[in-house]
Amino acid sequence: MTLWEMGVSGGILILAILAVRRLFQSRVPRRTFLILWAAVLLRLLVPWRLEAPVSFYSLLESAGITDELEKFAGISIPESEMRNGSGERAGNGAKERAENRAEEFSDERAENRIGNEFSENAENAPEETGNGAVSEEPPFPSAGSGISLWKILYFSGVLFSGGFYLKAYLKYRRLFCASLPAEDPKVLEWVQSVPLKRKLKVRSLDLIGTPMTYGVLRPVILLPKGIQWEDSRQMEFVLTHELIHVRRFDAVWKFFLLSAACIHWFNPLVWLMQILANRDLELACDEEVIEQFGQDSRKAYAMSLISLAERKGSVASWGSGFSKDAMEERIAAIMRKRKYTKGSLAGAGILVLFAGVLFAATLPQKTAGENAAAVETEVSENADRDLPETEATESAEKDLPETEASESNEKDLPETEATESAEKDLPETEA
Amino acid sequence: MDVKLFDSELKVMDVLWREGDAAAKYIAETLKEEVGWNKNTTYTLIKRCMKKGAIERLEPNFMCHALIPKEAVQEAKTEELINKIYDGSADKLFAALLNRKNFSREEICRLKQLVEDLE
Repeated sequence: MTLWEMGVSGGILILAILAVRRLFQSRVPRRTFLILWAAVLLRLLVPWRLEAPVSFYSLLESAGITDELEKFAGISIPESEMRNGSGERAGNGAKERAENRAEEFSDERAENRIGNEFSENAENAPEETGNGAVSEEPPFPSAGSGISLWKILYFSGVLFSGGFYLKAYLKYRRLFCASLPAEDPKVLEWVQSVPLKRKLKVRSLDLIGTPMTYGVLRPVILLPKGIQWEDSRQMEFVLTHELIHVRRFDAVWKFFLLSAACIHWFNPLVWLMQILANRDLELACDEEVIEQFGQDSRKAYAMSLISLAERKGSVASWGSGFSKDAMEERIAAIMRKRKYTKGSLAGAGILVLFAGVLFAATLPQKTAGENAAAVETEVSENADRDLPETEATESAEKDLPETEASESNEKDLPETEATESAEKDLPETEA
Repeated sequence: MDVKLFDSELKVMDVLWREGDAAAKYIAETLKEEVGWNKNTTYTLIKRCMKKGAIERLEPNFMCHALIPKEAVQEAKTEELINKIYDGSADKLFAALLNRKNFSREEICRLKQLVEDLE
């Protein structure tokens, strides 16, 4: 799968999740959305070679739409060329471009290393659609060695954004080194009582204004220096919140979110996901705290957070609009939280299933020829199964045709159409 | 003139105030035991103190001498410190309890009111 394809299908998934999140966020556990975001990350970070024989794109194709599009674009690709994409790309002729496109879609070519796909695709990026339709491409400037301007631009973007965060991370880690061990006996007592396989440390640092946690193998909770707990309950709330982050390996998730944003730096939807998923990480944590301490603790927890926010310095900040809303969002979510019910858990299950369906539906087709064959003969029921099942589909091709499959395909179409129209609405509403 | 030192730097000075002039190596070993800092961290802090004029380096052996007495040191105020390192990247990198830099009086009041309203 090429970078562009990953980005486009990732974008579709993101928009779908945005819609679903907006509609259902007060009705299902927040953690559900973390699972959905994880599916997007899977799409954005892993170039899937296993492709579904049936997908939205191939259905379009079998309906003859792709032929129409090709005619419209004025380029026709002989079936044989599509099927037998040749080796390395040589130059920029239309014929070679067509062959390279076939190359991208075919997963039979052993030579198609992921790196190749990334770099070739950077040149083909803008006009591609997944269904094999070819449209006019602007000629790309390329040096004789084959390194194009787009490739350079792309990698500069990755280097720049990745470098920025790496630099910040290293700076903070160096500063965190100079933290002092926490001395409050109540805190130390709490640490002792924590059942965690990894060794957890709690330290105090005068350079931070809010408690934070870092470290995966050797997690550390950092408390601002001289933090005065209003009562022991507040201390427990705060420490438990950070402990939940540690337990859930949120640091790792944040890393993956950032990586996706840097690799897809040109895709604003991925940045949006990064922001929202980070917020969901916090909200899910808050939910878990309430689950542990009980519904009655909601007000106390909310007030603890507010009093923590109060104690920071009173210097005017540049604070982004997002973070101002983020705190409000958290307080509201905490106060509105209800106990998990069978209904909310069932709803969560449905949403996860929905994500699985969408994930499978946005997998790219194999080459046109192969797919036509696959669609004609057997159809598997992979469309409404989750990831592990897609591996089974290639063997399932030989199996019996399933009527459920055609039903789920019909279900796919309206959903993906809905997300495409939602595309226009969402960016404005989310902003 | 009063020198402002961070907690970490004060810890380094503490060793010198307690034991008199000491080798940087000795300070590093002591602090490793006391607070768990590695050698690089301690050395960096010693150099920072030197830059602030709190420590003087004597040769041979990188001996450290405290230039200022304990009483003359002012603990750097919290706001100054926090402003020094916070930037928007922290909330993407680390799980923080509150990712906003700080809240104004009105914002705090509004949040408290929100809690009351939703109770």
